[in-house]
Amino acid sequence: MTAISNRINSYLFRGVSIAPLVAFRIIFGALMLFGVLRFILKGWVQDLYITPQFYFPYLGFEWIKPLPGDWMYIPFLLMVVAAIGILLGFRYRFSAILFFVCFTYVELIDKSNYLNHYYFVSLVSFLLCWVPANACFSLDAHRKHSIRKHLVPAWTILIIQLQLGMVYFFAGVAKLNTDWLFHAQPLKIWLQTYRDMPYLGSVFASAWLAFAFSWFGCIYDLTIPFFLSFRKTRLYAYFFVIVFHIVTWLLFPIGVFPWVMIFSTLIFFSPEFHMRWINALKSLFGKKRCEINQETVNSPKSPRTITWLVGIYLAIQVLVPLRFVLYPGNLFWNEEGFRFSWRVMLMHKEGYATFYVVDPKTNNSIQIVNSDYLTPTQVDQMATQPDMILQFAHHLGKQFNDTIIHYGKQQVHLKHPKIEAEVFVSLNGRPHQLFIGRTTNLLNETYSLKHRTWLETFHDTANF
Amino acid sequence: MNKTRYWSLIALSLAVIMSSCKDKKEDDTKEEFKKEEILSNLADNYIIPGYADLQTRLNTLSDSWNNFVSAPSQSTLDAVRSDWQTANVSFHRVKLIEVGPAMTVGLASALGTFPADTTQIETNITAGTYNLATAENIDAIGFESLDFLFYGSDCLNKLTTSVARRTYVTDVIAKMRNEVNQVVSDWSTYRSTFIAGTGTSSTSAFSVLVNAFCKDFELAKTAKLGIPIGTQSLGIQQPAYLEARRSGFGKTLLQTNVEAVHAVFLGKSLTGSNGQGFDDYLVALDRGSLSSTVDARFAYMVSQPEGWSGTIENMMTSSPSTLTDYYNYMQGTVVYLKTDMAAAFGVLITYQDNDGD
Repeated sequence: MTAISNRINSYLFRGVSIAPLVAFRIIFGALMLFGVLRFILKGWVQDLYITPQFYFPYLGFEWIKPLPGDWMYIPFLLMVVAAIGILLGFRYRFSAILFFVCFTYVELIDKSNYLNHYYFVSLVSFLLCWVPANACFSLDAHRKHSIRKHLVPAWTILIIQLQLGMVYFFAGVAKLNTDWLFHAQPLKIWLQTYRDMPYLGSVFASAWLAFAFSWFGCIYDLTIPFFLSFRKTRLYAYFFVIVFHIVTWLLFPIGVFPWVMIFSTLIFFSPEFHMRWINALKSLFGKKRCEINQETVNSPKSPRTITWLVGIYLAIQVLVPLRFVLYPGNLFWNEEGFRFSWRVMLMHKEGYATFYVVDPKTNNSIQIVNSDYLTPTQVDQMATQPDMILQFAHHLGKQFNDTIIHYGKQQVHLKHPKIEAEVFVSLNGRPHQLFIGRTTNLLNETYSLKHRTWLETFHDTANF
Repeated sequence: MNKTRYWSLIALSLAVIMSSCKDKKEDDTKEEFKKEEILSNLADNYIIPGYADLQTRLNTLSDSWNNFVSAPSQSTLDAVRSDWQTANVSFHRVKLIEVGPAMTVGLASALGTFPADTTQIETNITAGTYNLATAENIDAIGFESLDFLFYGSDCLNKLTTSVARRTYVTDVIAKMRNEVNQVVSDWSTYRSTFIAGTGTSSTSAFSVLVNAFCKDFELAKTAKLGIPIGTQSLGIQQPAYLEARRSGFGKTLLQTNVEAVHAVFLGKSLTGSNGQGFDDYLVALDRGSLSSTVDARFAYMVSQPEGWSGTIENMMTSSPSTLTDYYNYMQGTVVYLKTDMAAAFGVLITYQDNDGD
């Protein structure tokens, strides 16, 4: 045992050049700065965090609420400041923590805005809180010589590489399903929308291109972390990284994230590679060049703790995407264990959800117009996601419980109304099926991690 | 999608295709189907002639109203009423095209908001000064305000004796004509933008059209029928929310609305000849059965009200279950549009620009 743990220790704590980490810090800071500014300038703070009357919090995070009105701009402005701090390495640890807290806070407010890439940013900024990415070429190191280092323990870079590797690998594993591989869905739906493009329209409308993209994407995701890890294949792999992400950027509305991935994967490159461009930058500022010299890395105060923490983090990252195996039924249909699993651009669901507030005395009902309560994005997102449907039902329950409603001269006292929903969903272009029927009073169902028995069973249809 | 992106995408894809260098000759016709065919067919054969028709009908209405003003009588009022009906039907043919100029003007709500706020109308008339463009007056203008003014109780007498009331009608009609004229003239330049709007963003003409199409049908279902028959009020009927209640013309308007949605689905011209529409796109996507299902459902809904005796309000007493059945059938049709058809087209259903995943 000790032999193994010694080897793990010496592997995790051997000194490696700080250059890739510094490069990553600068790139991440710059991209986040750009991303947050873009978010603010597009008016999304208003649209997504001020306009809505109701939000869909995550299980266990119901206590997370948006700040009132324009105060919601504060966390975004703090993110701007924090991103600059990360970029410049100015009060770095504070900046990294501030960024992580603000970003994650915003993400936790409303799951309608969930994106795997936002989750990725949360995780990476969390990791950045723990690593000394400011120990070289930073304002902190400039002000305080004692923190300067040229070598860092290997785990600080390795963990970011592993995180990136897992994103790709699990995204690839998620593509190993019949819809993706043998029906080229949902890419067939998405690519054919380009059918009007000059010269290439009919190519985009053809099934073979969808199949080619599906298979290429799957193989790419599964293998790219490995090809990036080996020196011999790295350059070729990076060429594919660029091509893959630029193609997705051109074809799909995925904002800055292709660029985040293109630049983040540079962390797989050698210290010499990063040293070159950092030194070029440094000379711009009239700074001394960084060298890879023979300094020794300080032995950490508590290697065992760090080893354990790294191990636990990685274990969580492996287990969370696999938690879906604990649930019966079709994953795409039920979406139990779906999020936080790198299922990126994996399916196309369209749903239509109608809610009914039912007076149990008479069985008469009020049919709800969802857009009276939700933004278009929320309506759209909710219609196919069972946990959101349940949350909205409970919200309606609260709104209508013990209310007196006037209709002309008549008035009705709704004491304990039932909330029912009739939801139809089309998955990956199949004909719609009943998703939730009106037989369930959704107020009797609680939001938990348990399997949802009130969802209709998915029936596969071959013809789609 | 901006131009740089477009061209770099073309360049990149060309490179990919050159390298694979394989030519496939299967059933090319399906892959050759262009959304532009739908847009140009609709623009030239339905939308532009439709707006022109509405413009003409409103001019006619304006003329017959002027006749009434110079010689108020039951017969001149009858002529006004008849022209109001024709113009309203014409409006219902293009109401769903809430795209481009009509969206900018807000044509559907300016002309088609109901029920009318009769108190607001009377207040305006009494005051003699009003700005009909304000938000508070949205329920005091358009076809629905005219339903009240032309068909309300004792209307002939009121219109004959009150100059202010007649001026109000004149102003309402003038506003409607201005808005339609605006849309007609904007379309002469917008046409090319519309036809080129085949991109995939949620703001492209095609995306907006599909969304407007679904939204209009859903609104017809909810507002023209659902609310009055009590679907949002625990089954308690609310005839006060009926469209064109005083004229009893609501049934025709509901029918025309469904007919218009059907026509756009099929890509019909205003005169009824069939061209490229959503149905042809569905066929190109190998969803022929969905196409014929939706077609059949629309046809059923267009024909059904023929058998209704009297107005919708009469039916609410004499045969409420017929209306409920019809409503449920509309609801079932919305499901086909907003799930199956939306999924097949791959159109983003919301207006909000967003980072996808």
